[in-house]
Amino acid sequence: MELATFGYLLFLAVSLFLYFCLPARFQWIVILADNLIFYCLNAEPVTLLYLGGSVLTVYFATLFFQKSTNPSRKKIVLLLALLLCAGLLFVLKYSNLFINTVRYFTGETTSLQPVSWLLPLAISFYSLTLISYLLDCYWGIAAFQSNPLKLFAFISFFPLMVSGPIQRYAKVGEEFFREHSFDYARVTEGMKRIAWGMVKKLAVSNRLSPLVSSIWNDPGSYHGLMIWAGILLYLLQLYTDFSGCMDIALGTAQCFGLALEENFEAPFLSKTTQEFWQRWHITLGKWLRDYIMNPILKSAGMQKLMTRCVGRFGKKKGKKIPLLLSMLVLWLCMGLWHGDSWKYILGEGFWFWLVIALGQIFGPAFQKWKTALHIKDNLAFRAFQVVRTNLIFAFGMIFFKAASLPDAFSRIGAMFRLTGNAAVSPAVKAWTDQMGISGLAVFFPALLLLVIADVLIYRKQNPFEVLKKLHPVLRWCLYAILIYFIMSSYVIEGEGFAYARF
Amino acid sequence: MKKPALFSSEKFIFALKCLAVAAIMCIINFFFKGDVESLTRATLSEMYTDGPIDVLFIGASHTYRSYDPAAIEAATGLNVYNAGSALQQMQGSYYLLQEAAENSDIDTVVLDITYTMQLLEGTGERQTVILTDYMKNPLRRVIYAGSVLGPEGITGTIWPCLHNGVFNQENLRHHLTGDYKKDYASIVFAEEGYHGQGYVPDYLTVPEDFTFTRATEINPAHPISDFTMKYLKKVIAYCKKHGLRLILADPPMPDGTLVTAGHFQEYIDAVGGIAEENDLEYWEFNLAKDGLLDLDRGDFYDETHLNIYGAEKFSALVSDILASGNTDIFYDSYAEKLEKNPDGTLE
Repeated sequence: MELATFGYLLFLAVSLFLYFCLPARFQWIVILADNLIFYCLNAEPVTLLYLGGSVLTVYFATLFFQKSTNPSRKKIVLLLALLLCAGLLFVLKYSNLFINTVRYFTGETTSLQPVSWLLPLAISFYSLTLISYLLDCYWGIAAFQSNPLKLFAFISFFPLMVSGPIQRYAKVGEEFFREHSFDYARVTEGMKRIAWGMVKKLAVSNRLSPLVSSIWNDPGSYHGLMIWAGILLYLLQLYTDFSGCMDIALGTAQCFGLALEENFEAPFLSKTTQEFWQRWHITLGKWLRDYIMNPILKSAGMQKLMTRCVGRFGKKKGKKIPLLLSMLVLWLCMGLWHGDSWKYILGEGFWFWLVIALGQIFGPAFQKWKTALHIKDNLAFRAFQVVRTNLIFAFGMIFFKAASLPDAFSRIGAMFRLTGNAAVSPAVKAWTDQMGISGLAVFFPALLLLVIADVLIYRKQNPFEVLKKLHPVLRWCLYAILIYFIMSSYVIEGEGFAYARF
Repeated sequence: MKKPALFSSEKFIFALKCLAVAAIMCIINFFFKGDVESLTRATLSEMYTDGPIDVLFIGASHTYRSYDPAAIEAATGLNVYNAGSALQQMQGSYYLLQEAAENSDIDTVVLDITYTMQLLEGTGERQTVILTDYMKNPLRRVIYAGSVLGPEGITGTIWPCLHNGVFNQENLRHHLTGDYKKDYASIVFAEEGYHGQGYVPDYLTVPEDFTFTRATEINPAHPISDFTMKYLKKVIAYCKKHGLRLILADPPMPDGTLVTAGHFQEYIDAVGGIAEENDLEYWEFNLAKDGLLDLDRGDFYDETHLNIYGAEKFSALVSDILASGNTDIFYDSYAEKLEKNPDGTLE
């Protein structure tokens, strides 16, 4: 059952009906039942054993933290629990990275063969949620959840079991199990958000998919500029896919009375790569910062290194070296999280670290040049920054979309080719013919609405609050149009959510 | 006067808004459902509105291409309807039978048992929605579509345009001008014709150089799927409960197809066993004797279906059986049929 389907909406409607009609003490049980049904509809039920096993491991570890007063024993239990949770993730998700690397270096003479595990649903997302709960309990940040079934209900919360966002028990756990009464404003806004997510996914992402594929699948015949155009269109497709999924997930949570952490905040209006990643897949970035980078930065070894570097290069430069090294680990983890291939480690990890590191190292020099050249922070410079940031991001995403590392390199080569067909018109014509006037009349207005919504979000305004201020007749006309967008796009065969395979 | 609590509650306003959204969806569905050319929209509508039905033929394309109700009616005087639909499987037959039986006082049900449709473990989306979109009984629609497609099937029964929508001006024009109600002209492909009462013969004949090969292979250890068995048992139980005469019937297929599919005798034995166990008649027309049903290459339009010439011969034989009750027209085995009455499709 995909999130962007009417079947899901029916499932949600029944769940909400039970959630608000049954006595409040049963609300978490409704969610638990929903989670199990949703899981079994979307994955092999037997893989629930992985999820259940990880939850039980963390439950008993956190129980031990409560009971024990011995810090070294607590540490051992923490390490064992971490090893089990992260180990399961690594074995199930990264076995092939290891196997393929060994096969590459041994010239495939090894008896090691790639494996195809039966993967649990959203393992990359729920594992991080579990690990954060485990560490937060160990650090005394999160309250211990004494009921393992409640912990299971939180970890497997169904709208998040496709593509996250990654939540933290310390922040939303209490709210999750609080009694929620029906709140008209909250539920209606949640519904609107779900509808908006469906518009993004169905009316923009799915409709754009054939055009992106036609350019992507034929890199040999296009001029480099057209390959760039193709990858930028892919970014739009990916963004509307992933953020659409997040809108549906967060809208669902909102209907249940939960305000979960956002995952996107108009990233394509960012001025720098660093800012971009603070607005794109926010929860993953924060998780890696809090549970990977900061602990490394605070570790005794890194503190020692910092002291040495400060002594040698001075305070300002000396502090940067451990920071950049910690960031490197963060970005390599970022790449690794995306999948079991070196293309992710290089493209999603190292590339972005390099850009941000260079930005930090040469930032002051750039500032000086800017002043010397009398470049002002006007709209044109702002536009330049936004375009530059998006092109840098697009470059990294080639690795994400490419089938393999060599494929990514060959496409990068094609991006700088000055020969070939300099017009995407055949691909665009085929796409517009396929869409027809009625399809284009859905795609472009939906795209316009997306731009308006993102500009509002960038300006820290809630688009749904702005919507509320419209005259009711106008507002309902807009709802009808959006419903038409969804229904007319529903019959188009689209791809599943891009991040659902994580 | 104080307002009743129900009307002032947020829940009531919320429910009203949900209904408004559902109503908008119904309007969009009305204008854009893409079934102007749907065959089952026409055939089911006819089934519900035409007169009484004595004999109901039910099954997949082998049914609607093979049994000519007009010819059978003329020969027997019985009221006949052909309720075949594309890719119909036993689950679809089970629900469609109930629809027909509720609507008419049926005496005999001739159930298609063509082997190609009985091997699958489950029903596909297309064959389900082309029936549920036009079934009268809303609860049955929901149960059938829901059991096959889950929640998605249920929403699809309320707003069929979610699976068959055609969002263009032409379709809108059809619905706005009333063509939708009267335009059944183009419900079939160019090479076929709609002859009414659910009968859709094909006018083409296989080319001279056509090679008949297996459509699907028969598993001798498991010639009928568990899924088919589950719903066949339900059909049998339903017919027994409602006093309907149930006949398991297999319209003829080319020998070339059946031989390459392999193990057809095992399939016959399996169906024969079910028929015997449940005291049912089994008309296996692939065993029809020489002189009663003499088919050749010119009677088929592809590797599994009869064309209009084959269907005429076949319907004449079916009429004879229905009129006379004589079922002693089949050979004992498929090997015997191949030897004594081959159809020339085996190369």
